Amino acid sequence: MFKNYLKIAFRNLWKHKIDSAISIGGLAVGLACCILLLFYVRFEWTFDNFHENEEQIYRITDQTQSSDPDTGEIQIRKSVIHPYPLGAALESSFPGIDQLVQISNGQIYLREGEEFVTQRATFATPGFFRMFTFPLLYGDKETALSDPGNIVLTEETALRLFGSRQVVGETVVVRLHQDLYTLTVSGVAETVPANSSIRFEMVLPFENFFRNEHPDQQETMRESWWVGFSETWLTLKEGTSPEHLKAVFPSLLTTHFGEMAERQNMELGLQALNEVYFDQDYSSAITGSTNRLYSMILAGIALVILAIAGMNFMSLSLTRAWRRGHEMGIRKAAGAHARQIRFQLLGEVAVTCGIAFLLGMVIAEIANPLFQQITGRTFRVDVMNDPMLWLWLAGMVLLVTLITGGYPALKMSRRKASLLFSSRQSAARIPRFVNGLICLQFVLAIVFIIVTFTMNRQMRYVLNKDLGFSAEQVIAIEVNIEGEDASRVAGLFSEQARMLPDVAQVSVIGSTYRSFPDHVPFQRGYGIGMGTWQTSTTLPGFENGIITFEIVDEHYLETLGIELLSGRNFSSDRPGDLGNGVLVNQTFAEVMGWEHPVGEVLDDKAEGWTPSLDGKEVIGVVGDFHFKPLFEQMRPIVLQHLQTRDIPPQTILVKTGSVSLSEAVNRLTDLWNRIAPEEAFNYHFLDELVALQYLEEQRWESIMRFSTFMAVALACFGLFGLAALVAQGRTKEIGIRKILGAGVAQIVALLNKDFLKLVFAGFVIAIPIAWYVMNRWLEDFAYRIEIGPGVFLLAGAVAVLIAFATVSWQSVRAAVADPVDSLRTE
Amino acid sequence: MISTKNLKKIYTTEEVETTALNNVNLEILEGEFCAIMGPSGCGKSTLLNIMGLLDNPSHGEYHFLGHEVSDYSERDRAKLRKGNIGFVFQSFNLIDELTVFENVELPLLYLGVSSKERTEKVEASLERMSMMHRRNHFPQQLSGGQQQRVAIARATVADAKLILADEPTGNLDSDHGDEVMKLLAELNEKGTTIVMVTHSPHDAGYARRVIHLFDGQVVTENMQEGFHV
Repeated sequence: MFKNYLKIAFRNLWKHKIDSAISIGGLAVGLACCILLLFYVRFEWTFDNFHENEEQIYRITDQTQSSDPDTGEIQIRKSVIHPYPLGAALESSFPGIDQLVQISNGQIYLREGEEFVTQRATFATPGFFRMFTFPLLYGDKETALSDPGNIVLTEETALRLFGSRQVVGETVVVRLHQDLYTLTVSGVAETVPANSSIRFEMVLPFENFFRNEHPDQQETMRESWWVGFSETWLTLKEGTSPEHLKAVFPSLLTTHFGEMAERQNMELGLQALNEVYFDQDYSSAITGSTNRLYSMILAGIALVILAIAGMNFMSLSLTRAWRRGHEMGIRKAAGAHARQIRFQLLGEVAVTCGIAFLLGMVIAEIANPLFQQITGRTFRVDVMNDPMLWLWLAGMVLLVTLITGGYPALKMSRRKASLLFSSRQSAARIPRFVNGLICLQFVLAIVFIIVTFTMNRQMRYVLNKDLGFSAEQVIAIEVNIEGEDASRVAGLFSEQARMLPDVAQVSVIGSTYRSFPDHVPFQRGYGIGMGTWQTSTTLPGFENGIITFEIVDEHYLETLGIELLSGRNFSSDRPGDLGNGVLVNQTFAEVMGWEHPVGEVLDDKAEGWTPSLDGKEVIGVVGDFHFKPLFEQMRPIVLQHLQTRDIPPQTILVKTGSVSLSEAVNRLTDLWNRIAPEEAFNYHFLDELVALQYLEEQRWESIMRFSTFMAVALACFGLFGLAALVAQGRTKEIGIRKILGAGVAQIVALLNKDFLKLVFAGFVIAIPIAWYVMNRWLEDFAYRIEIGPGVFLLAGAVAVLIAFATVSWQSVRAAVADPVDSLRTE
Repeated sequence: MISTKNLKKIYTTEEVETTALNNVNLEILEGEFCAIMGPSGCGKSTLLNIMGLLDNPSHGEYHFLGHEVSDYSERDRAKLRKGNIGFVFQSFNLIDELTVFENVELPLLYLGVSSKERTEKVEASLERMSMMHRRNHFPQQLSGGQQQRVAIARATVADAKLILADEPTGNLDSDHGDEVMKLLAELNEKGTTIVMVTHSPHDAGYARRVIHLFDGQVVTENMQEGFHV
């Protein structure tokens, strides 16, 4: 019996090849999307789970509170960066700590060939490789970091530097602050797993962190409780609960911070390692984090796509089953029970579904590289060797079979065999339930279209908005040189660069403009490095009592096209301005409540210390410019001259003229290599750095674009199949209508009308859903577009047009067919 | 074998009530060959549905093989139908996706007959209908007459006691039609009861008794002496 079912299932599939291709292909493609999206979600949800004692690892967090003297509003600051002595103090005050590791990140200079290149480095105390499960391919995890003269490389770094993995005993030369050190490779770590929130390329013993600081600062950093720069991670001994440790925190804070601890409501806390990745309250330079909502949305999208594909499958199976009422009648007349009919129909759906699932897995495997490119994440997808996935898929086959096959099976088995003797055949209408499914599919597809359009408009808005400065044709060159040498090189370079034919202006500034470390795009609001300096103030109206400032030279405004609204720019003709003058932006003047800012002197007095802007005179006001991403409102900023502060130049901005950027880069490279042959020439295009601020949003936009394409394509796929079935079922009607004088257009309109009604209904339902979702998304942006009716109308028009084209393909075919043929076949 | 008492069938839609059968009283004995005639819409097919246990009457009694089945559930009707009743339709109603052999095999599959026995029975049945040489063909590859022979093979393969034929020659030319009628007559001679709906007086000539239906009622019943053999 079962063989008979299988046989008829396969013959049916073969007989209706196009239908079968549509329903199997559609489900397979939908499933492939779903598998990939779920792999991605699983990847996100299994972050850091490879550490053997994942559940016992904690990071110390802290929180301080202050209230705004004007508004009384309470501001809470959360951080994971702590002073170095905290480690020792914790260990001595709480014997329940098993291991304690302090970690910090920084930049060092590594000699590669003749040049020193900048290199991101992780500094850690000796327990690092014991606490975290980053296995060493070579070397001993117990001792790898015990000697300050050691260094541990990852296998990629070892391969990059030495062309081999077994490099224990080899040496590397690094420049820390201004001194050269030769470090011996004591271990080679396996590649850091993709789902690790802690990422590193090389780990240096913590002592090297101090060596990398100015010698005058080293002592303070080692001993002061007032300078934070390291993260403290720990594990607890068996039988010790985190609550025990938390109990000693208050006394520890009072001992070391005195009454300040109470005044600022200082609190220490513990954050479990497995919470790190989804906790965005804390920003860390060591661990990345992401919004949990994103992976939930992705899981949702995965299910929606599968649902659309499933609905297709269901509506096609149902409509086809309807057509097979006749066959089922014959079977009943031949003695089949209703149960046997149900079993047969379900079995056929299971076979089709099984084929679709196998095909879906193959597609997922093949499409994986493309998908990773779209999502911007690299993670392992091994569809074929994943028992969990197989189990999950088997469950899905069963579920999809029951859902998609259950309804038709139930309906068909209840149909009366007596219709066999009736000369009237069942009508070729689509079952009402299927109409509902089509409508629902289009609701989802249209929501996707609107979301994509809106995201696209917002991204275009963000990327094209007048930022108050011009990032085009600006090259940002890193000055990775310490001390006085930096000023010499920057001065010489800018002077000579200005003489190059295609250079419009050059400016030397004191902050770093560079691309993010790998994980920072997870974190919003980092910006591109403009205005990265901050200083404390007692002036009212500044968030958290902090003023942002930028260290610039007299060419800065011209290089970036920032407008000088009143007063004067810095000028070497007025040396007094360079030391004591500041430029402020409009927002700064507004916060201060100045009508005529030029000539105002900042009166920023505090008890016990002198805020750095006290006594500075405002020499000019510049137009507002967005030095932070557009997630944030315009903020006040102060521009100070390089000569004011003891900060070496860190970036040279070169505004090029009309020549091609690549040509300009070539000339600048030559110049750099002449002036500083030992230093690598690192540069970025400023407009690219600006766009990088929205990397996460752009990534989401491309994920949505992909999902929309899939959703719309799958919905149309289903519509195409159904339209064919309907047209085929109405052949006789079409023939009669044509004989009675109907034209092709009238027939097409007749066939399309029913479908377009459904698409239109879907459109109406989709509007409020999409409107709500997009407004929630846009809330994140301080500068955003408003969603007008245009985007809805456009999305509706697109959906209707695509649906119309899809259905018409079949309708026109039916309409131009010879009516004599169609009536004869009846 | 079949006896009906005041059999009524009423179809109700939202607006109209149609009486398809009205107080039909019939008695059909085992081994009879009975033709039902009447104009279109007189209730012939409805009567056949009820006799074939594909539908229930609205009122009245229906006794089949000694069971009063007028209020049997679908499941019970299916159970009784299996192996006892075979159907032959005007439009043959073969399953296009199955071969000749598989089509004939169908009733045996639902009866749970073993594979070996099935093959024997199907082959014997096809042999009887002279269709063995076409056993692996699909219905579309056969002529109308051949399709109807396959349908008769299917109707008889499980040794059904009753064959209900609905215009069995309606889609056939006269030669093929005669062939089919002869086959039915042969079956009847071997003891199978046959009830046939037909428009054709010629076909009705094969039956021993002709029942005339009009507007859902039996108007005349004639015993024929000179029926074809």
